[in-house]
Amino acid sequence: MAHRRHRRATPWETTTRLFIVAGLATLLTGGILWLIYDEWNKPVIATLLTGGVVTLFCSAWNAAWLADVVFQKKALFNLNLLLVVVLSGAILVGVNYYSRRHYRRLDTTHLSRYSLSPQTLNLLRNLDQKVEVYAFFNENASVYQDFPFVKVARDLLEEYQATSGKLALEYVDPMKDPKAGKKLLKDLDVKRLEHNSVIFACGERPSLRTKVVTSYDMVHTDYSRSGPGDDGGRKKFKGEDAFTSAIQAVLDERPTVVYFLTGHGERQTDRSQPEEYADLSKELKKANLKVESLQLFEKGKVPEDCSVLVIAGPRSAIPEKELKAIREYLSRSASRRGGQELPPPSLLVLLEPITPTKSRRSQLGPLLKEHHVKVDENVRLVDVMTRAFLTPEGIQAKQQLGLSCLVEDYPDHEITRELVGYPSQFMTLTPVQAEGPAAGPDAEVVVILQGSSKGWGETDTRRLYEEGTAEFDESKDVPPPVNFGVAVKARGEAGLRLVAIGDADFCSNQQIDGRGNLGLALNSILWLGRKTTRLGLPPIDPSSEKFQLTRKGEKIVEFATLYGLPAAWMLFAFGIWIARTITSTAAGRLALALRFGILLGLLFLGTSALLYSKGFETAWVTVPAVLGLALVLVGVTVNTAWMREVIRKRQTLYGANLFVAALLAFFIVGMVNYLATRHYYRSDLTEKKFFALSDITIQELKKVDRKVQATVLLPGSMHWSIEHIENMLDEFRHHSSRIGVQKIFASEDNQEQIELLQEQLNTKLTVEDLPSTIFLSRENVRHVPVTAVVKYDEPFNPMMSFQKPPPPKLVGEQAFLEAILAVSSDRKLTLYFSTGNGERNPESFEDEDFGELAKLLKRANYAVKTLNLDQADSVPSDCSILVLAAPKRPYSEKGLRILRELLAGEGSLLVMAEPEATTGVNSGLSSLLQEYSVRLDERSLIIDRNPFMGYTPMVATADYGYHKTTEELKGSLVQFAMACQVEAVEDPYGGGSGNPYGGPPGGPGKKWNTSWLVKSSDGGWIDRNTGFGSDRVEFDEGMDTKGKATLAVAVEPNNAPPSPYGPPPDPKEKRRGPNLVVFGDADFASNRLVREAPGNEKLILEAVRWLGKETSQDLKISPKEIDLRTIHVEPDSKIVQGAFYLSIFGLPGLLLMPALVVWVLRRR
Amino acid sequence: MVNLWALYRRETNSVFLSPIVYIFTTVFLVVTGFFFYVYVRDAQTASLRWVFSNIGIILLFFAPAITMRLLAEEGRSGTLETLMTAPVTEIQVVLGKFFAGLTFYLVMLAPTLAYILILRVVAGEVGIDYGPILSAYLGLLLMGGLFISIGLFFSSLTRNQIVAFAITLAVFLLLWVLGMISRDKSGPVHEVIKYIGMFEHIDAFVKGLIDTRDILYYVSATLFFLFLTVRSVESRKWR
Repeated sequence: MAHRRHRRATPWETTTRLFIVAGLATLLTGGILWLIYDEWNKPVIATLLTGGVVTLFCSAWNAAWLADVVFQKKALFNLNLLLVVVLSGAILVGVNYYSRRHYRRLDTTHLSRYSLSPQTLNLLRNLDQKVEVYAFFNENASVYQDFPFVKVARDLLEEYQATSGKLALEYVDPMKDPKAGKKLLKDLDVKRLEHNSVIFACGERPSLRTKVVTSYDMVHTDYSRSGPGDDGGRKKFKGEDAFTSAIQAVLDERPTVVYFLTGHGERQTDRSQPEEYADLSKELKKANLKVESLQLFEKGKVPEDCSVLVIAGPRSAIPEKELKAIREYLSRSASRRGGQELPPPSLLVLLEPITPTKSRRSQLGPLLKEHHVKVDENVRLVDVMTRAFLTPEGIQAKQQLGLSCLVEDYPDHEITRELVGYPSQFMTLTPVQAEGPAAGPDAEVVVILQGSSKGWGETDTRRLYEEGTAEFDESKDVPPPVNFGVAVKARGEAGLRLVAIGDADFCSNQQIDGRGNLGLALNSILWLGRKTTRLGLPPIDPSSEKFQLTRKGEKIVEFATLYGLPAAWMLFAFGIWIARTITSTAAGRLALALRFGILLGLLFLGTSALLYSKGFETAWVTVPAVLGLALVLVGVTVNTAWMREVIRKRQTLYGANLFVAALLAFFIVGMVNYLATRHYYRSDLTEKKFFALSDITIQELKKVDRKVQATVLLPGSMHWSIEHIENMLDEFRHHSSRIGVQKIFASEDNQEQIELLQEQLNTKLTVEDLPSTIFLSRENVRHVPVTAVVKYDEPFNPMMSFQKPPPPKLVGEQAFLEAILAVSSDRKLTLYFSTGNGERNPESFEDEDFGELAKLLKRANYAVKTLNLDQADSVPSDCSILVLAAPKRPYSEKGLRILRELLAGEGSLLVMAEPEATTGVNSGLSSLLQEYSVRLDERSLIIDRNPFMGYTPMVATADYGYHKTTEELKGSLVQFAMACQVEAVEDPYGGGSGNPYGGPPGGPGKKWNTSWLVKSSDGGWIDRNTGFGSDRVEFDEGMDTKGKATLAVAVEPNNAPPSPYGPPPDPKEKRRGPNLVVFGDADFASNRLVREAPGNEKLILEAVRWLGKETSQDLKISPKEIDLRTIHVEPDSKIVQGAFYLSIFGLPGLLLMPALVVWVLRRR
Repeated sequence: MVNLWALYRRETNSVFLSPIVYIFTTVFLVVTGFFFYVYVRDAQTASLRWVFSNIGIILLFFAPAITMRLLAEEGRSGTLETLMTAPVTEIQVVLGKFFAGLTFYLVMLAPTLAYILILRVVAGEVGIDYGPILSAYLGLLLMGGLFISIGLFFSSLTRNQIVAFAITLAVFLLLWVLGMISRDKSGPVHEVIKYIGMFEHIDAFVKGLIDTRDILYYVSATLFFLFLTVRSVESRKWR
């Protein structure tokens, strides 16, 4: 043995020993492959076999050497150690495994936040089936502010999981991994899912029972509390109630069959027409209910498995025979038959009043009366609503009869409890009254729906339909408030349940989209079917720990934690250091105490300086300063000798020398860095030159000859556009010494500066604008909000799509350059507002005038003046844009001549026309505009369809054409009131959408390039028979045109190439001419609408900018595109798993191999 | 016990009479103080949950520095052999060093109690829920025990303090990152990794939940690494 140990290994032996290492490496590789593939496939088996064979063969060849190594005393000890370690590791695993199964939890929170309610605990502990829970949470939910309770919801779900081993929780982030999310939804057969929803599933596929809990279901909004902002302090988390109810729902295996009666003109569950019930049927199926149709005439009786019978809006009378069958059904009690428990009877009746299209009563009145419900289908609920009307004075609010009803306040009942905050909309209503006491001996009758305090039950329906008028008649009509929904619950668990609602439209395909309507329909049927709606567990308030940090409080925290505590600790350390030199004499102790006092004094002085710098009051600064000075003076006086000794020490001298040297070095380094920030060179090595400015910008910046101060107002939280803004401004500053940059955080500390900025801008900055950049030069100011810096090609709504946000385009370079050029230029555009023909006044702040617009224009660096066309000979030479805003008198020949001269001289004209229906006159501008390919039809009136108000002359739209003017408006809504149609004539694309910059190629021969800017929705029409002063609008098939209408048009000279693929026209031959923007409405820019609708402000300002030829179409600076280089790999793909296992097993193993090789070579 | 106490005193004296502990704690307080300040300013919530979570992460970087010298330094200077000639057992040596390290850790943590007071002052009427704070400190104590025991083990494996620091930090980071990666994943491998991840267990304490599973995890893992350390110290005899 000894001989063998000292013999040098032959090259073959060394090689085979190295092969043992290689074999082990191959085995490790095989193991990793097995983990990646998760199956015994060929590569895995081949690798493992190769590794095994090589290791075994080489080990066998070197058996003697291995035995020598292994059976050394040291090796035996190591083996023993290894066994002990493995054994103790096994014990560790065993103990932890046992503890996972048998454990106790103690909730130490004050409100027992993590303790589940007894109902939930009871349910979870008795779970006998596996419940799968899939939480589709988006980790950015709190950023998007759409669901602030993600963390609380996660905590709660983890608590559920910790309580029951039968509950399997899985998180899916649909933003991170959209494919996995979609696949899972397909597996679960869930068609559509809102963000931040949780799906509960139970049972075997395909009969899997699922229940979706959305973020809405988890939030309880306390409307009785008014907090700051929209929802401030009013939202509570009711996740436990929602989750436990959902688990109960998916555990419930009872088949609940809902029968919809047919044969009398009832709504059909398999039809998709607006008035039918296909959507409701889908929703019921999603709630694990079975939906069937029932022909009572054929069957003769209600089926035994019927859990809920629905009679939805019968248009004809139900025969007595069928009524008898229904009565039989209602009188039956829950019983067992054939080993099966029959469901107790439940009836949902949705009635409609008699109308011209429904002329017969359902005959359900007597039947319902037997169950304490009184209906009269001859009566129709009429409400009084406030609506906008056109009058000679403009729009005015008037009260009008309303035939629909919006319910926002619900009486308390299991059906309506969860609907608080979600209004329901009803169309044609008939009163449904409770008869008898609310809590009778045999049944409990509760009103669940009630009309407003102004609405009454009209009995004279003939007059209502024929004349369109109604008046409350105390003697005949049903007085307000009118009930139209009643729930009846017979005594006893298995007793009859009945819900009667006086409207069948509210849950039709057309109306069920509203959360309130859907909730009401679903909750009614679930309640009738004895299905759990909600358990009523109390919500928790995660904001209960929130407090308002005052400025003083913030200073206390900052001072105490950042400086106070570390300083106190250092003082403590110095104290210990001094204490170690303690002497036994009293004088020595005193001297020591005073030496310590010097330190304390210095600390006080430092504190005083700090407090002074933080703006504390004089007393706060003076007291520590005086105290510190006294301590230092006394300490130094008493310890003079000691100090002298300390100073004379060589160590002290060295220390002082070192300190001075360090100070000097620090100063030099500081200076070098300071100089480097002033004079530097930057090289952008990114492939797409992400940080470098374009040549155009650099050239333009060289022309800037006066100081421009850029102030970046930063939000409190991080915003990823900040980096772009800072980069761009750094570059701007680098290329022009005239540009100065400062950054301010939008916090209370900087309130004064923010107020000053707002004053200069003459407007309030909003959070949505942040980070904002404000450019100032002399009197000129320009605001660049974040929306002008970051742009998306398509509007992105994180709440509505299962997609990652599209990469934005960063257009800060262009936006900043435009702003710098604008503020550094003395060129000030002047807008002249035409007066003298009854136009809107730019100096008045009455609702319909233009004072606000003028203010906005001044803020954007424009001068605003007025001009009376009848008194002037021509348009002043400084006029950049002439504005004609809603003339109430036609323009004279002279006025029109001046306008023609303006346009011939390439001036810009902004026309805001009004329909004749409001002004009563024709402005006479049509012929002038016709010359520029614009057709203004002042006789028309655009009618829009508002989801709440029906048809109205108020137009709200977000349908924009592609034009420079409307680029900024994506996602914004603009509102018009009483607009007439403006159309582009000779539009080569027939009113098409044009192209983004400068419209479509007009084609050879076209003089004007016209682009439509805004259109109304396609739900309305263009009315041509509404006269001045009318207070009714009605569609007239003969005259009116249904569909979208153009509200605004922009015109410019056509300089497009002759063909889309042809070369651009020669600049020398560029066609010149005026720019025009024509709106069919002036109210949209009035004080009232500019204040109310931010989209209006943007639209009018962009139109003015375009007319002033301010938009830098010639600069054409390319936007910066974020070079994400996203790698599209599936999170569970082999490559990702491979990277995961390689990083945790492969790399450490790889490092081990050289060590083994070295070890083998050393033991030759 | 007397030996253990003597070893503990020897170790703590050497630590607390040197300026390292104070400088170290000052830096720790500046870092945690910054996080506390930012949290209170931005979240304005009378809770230290986020602060404690961050303290856990900060300690991940500080703990290896506490433990790196405990045994590696003794090994390098040769004093461990001298110590082992004294009538003390390996267990007493390891426990003495463990408790000294833990004391250092707790002393470092102790000034953070002042945050409760500061929060109480600024929170005003809202008040503080002391339960989660208590449980968070318990969790930090248990996690600290595990930190020290792991660090002690790696310190026993080498005579070089830097190597001990680097390996301990790497292991801590690995346990932290793996736990994070596996947090939202399912499957047996991820379940195991999730369980091994040290920071997954502190979450419950920070929330205000005292769970026997988490306690047992920290205690058992601490004991395991102490056992390994004892074995490692013992094995020096054979090297």
